[in-house]
Amino acid sequence: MVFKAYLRLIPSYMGVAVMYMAMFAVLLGMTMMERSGLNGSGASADSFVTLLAVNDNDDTEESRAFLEYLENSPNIKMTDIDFERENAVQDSLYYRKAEYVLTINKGFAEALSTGDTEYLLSSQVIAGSASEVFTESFIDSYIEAARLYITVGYDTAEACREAAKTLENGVEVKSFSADNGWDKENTGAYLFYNFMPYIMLMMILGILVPTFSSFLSEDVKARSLCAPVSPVLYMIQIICGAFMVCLVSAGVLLAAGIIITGGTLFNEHSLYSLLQMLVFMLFSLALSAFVGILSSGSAKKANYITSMVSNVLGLGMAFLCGVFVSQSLLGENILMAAKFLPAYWYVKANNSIFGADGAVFNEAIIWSAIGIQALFALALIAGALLAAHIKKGKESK
Amino acid sequence: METVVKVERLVKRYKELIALDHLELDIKEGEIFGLLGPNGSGKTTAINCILSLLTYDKGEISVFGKKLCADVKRNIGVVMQNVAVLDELNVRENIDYFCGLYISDKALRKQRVDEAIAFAGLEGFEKFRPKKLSGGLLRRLNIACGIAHKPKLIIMDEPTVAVDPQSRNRILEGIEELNRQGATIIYTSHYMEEVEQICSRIAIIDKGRNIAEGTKQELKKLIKNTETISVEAAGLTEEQLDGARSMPHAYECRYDGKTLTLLYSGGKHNLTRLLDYMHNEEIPMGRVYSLLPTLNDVFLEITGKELRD
Repeated sequence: MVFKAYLRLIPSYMGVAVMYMAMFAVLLGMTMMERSGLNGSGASADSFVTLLAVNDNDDTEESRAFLEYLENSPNIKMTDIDFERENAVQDSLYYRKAEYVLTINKGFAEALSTGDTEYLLSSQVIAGSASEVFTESFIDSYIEAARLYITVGYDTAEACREAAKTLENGVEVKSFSADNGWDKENTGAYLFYNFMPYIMLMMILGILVPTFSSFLSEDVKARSLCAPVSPVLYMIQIICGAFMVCLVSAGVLLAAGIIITGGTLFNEHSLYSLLQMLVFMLFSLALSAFVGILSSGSAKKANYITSMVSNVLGLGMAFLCGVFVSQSLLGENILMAAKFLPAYWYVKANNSIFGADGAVFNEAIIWSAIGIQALFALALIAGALLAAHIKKGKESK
Repeated sequence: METVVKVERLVKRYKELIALDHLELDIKEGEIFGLLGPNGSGKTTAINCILSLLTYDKGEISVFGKKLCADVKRNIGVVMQNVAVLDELNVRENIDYFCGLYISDKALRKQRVDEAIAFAGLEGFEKFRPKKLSGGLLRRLNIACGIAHKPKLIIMDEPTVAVDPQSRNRILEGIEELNRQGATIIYTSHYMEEVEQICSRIAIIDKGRNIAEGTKQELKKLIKNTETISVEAAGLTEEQLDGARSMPHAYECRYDGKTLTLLYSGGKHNLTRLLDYMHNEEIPMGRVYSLLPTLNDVFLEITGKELRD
C-alpha cells in the first residue's frame, strides 16, 4: 500500500521531469546539429571558416602560389578589401567583413628562398580570436613545408607548389570542440551519455526529494507506523517506489535518446555506458534520499533544499566535471576539485568509452571510474541512513 | 467492563526532564476517556508511548491485554495532533491510503472510505487536495484518515486545535457517535469544556503524573468549591460585606469595588439567600452569575495553577 501510494504521488512532480526532458531533447538535438553540420552553415563538424583578406605586395609566382593555397583551403573564405582606401583594414575588421587581414610583403619570394621568414608576412587581426590562432597555424604549416622543399633542393616556386599540394591532401584543423579522435557516427550517443548525468540528477532530484520528504515527514510516518506496518517494510516500499521511478526515468531518457539520435545510441561498448548510467542513477537516488530525509516534514523546506541542491550540485557538476565544457578545456585546479564529484568520473569513463576528448578506450579507466561512482553512491546511502537514524533519535526523544 | 488500555508506572525521561512520572491509566471498553492537562503536561508523550512511537524508561503498557503488536495495531485508530496527511493526494486518496494500511480487501476498503467520507461530512470534497480545504475540513479529513478502518480503540490527540466553533461541535458530535457505535476513545485536550462535554471518565495530568481521575462529578467532589456566585454591586460598605461573608456555606468573599464574588462549599439555595440579603439591604444590583465548579477549578485547587497557564 505504501508502495502504491508512493507512486500515486509522482504525477504531482511530473512537471519537473517533463521540463528537464524537454531541456534534454533541445540540448541534445541542438548540439548534434551543431556537431553534424545540420545547422545550416554548411561546415563540417571539424571545420572552421575564417574570413581572410590578402594584400599581395610581392606579386611573384611564389606569392601567387601561396595565395592560391589560401584560396583553395575549405577553412578560408576570401574577402576583398579596397586596400587603397584609408582605414579600410580597420573598418573591415570592425564590421567583421574580414577576420584576418594578411599582407604578403614585398620580397616574399626572395626571403622565403633565403630562409629569412621573419618579415615574409604581416597581419592585422581581431586579437585573441579563434581565427587568429587557426590562420596563423595554417600559414605557418605552409611556410614550414615550403622551406622544407627548398632545403631539399626544390626551387622556390616549385617548393611553394609542392607545399600547397602536400598540405591540401590533409590539413588537420584542430577544432575547439570535444569530438576529436572519435567516430562521428557516435556523436549522438556520446552527447546523449555526456548530458545524461546532469539531466538524470535534476529529474530524479525534482521528483524524489519532495516525495521522500512527504512520506518521511514526522506526522505521516508516525501515523503510518501506527498501522500494522513495520518501519523496515515502510522504508523498503518507499525505496522500491523510488527505484521504480528512477528506472522509468532512465527508460524514458533512453527512449528519447534513441529517437533523437536516430537509433545510433548503442554500439559494442554500450554495456559500459548503461552500467555507469545505472550507477549514476543509484547515486542520484541516494542523494535524493539524503536530501529528502534532511528536508522531511516541510514542503517549503523540501522545495528550497531541492532547488538549492539541484542548482548548486547539478549545474556545478555539469560545468566543473565536463558535461557542458570538455574536460580537456578545463583548468588543472578545476579538474582537481571535480575529482571529488561523481560526474567527473562519469564523464571520464564516457570519454574513454567513446574515445572522445583526447581519451582512448581503456577498460581499466572505465571500470575504476564506475567503481568510484559506486563508492560515491554508497557513501551517500550511508549518509542517508545516518541522517535517518539521527532524525529518528530526535523524534523518539 | 474489560480493560482496553492499561498503563502502569510509566516513566519517560528527556535527559533531566521527567515527562512521565509513574503514570497510571486504566481505560475501560466503551469509555470516552479524557486526558486533560495543560500544554507540556505529558499527554502526547503518554499517547506516543502507548502507540510505541516513543520508547520509555520504565513501566508497562498493554492494549487489549497484550503488548502492542501488528494484530493489536489493527484495532487502533489514531488521530494525530498535527494534521498528518499527504498533500499530493486528494481527500479520497488520503483516506484510502491510511485505510489501506489496515484493510487490504479493495471492496471493503472502498466501502469504509465512503463511510468515513460521509461520517466526516466530506462529501463533495473528495477530489480536493488538503491545501484546498479549510482548517475545519482539514481536521475532519485528519479524523477520517484515523477512523476509516473502524477501529475498536481510537486515540485522538487534541483533534480540535485551531478549529472554528462550528467545526469543533461537529467533531465532538462525531466522536460521541463513534463511541455509540462501540469504539473506545482516548481523547486528549487542554480544553476542559470539550472534555467535560464528551468524556465519561477523565484523568487530569500535570507534570507527567495522573493527579486525579474519575467522572467529572467525582472530580468536582474532590474540591471544596461547589458554587461561585458573582453579583455586580458598586459601593458596598464594610458592614454589608460582613453580612455577605456570614452567609451560610460561603467560605470566601472577594470584592473589587464593582463585583462581589462568594465561593460556597455545599448548601442549597445559596443564590436565593444572597439575593434576599441584597434586597433587604437595598443594595442596587447589576448582573448576577451563579457558576458551578469546572475542571479548571479542580485543576486550580489541586495544582495551584490554571489549566491554560
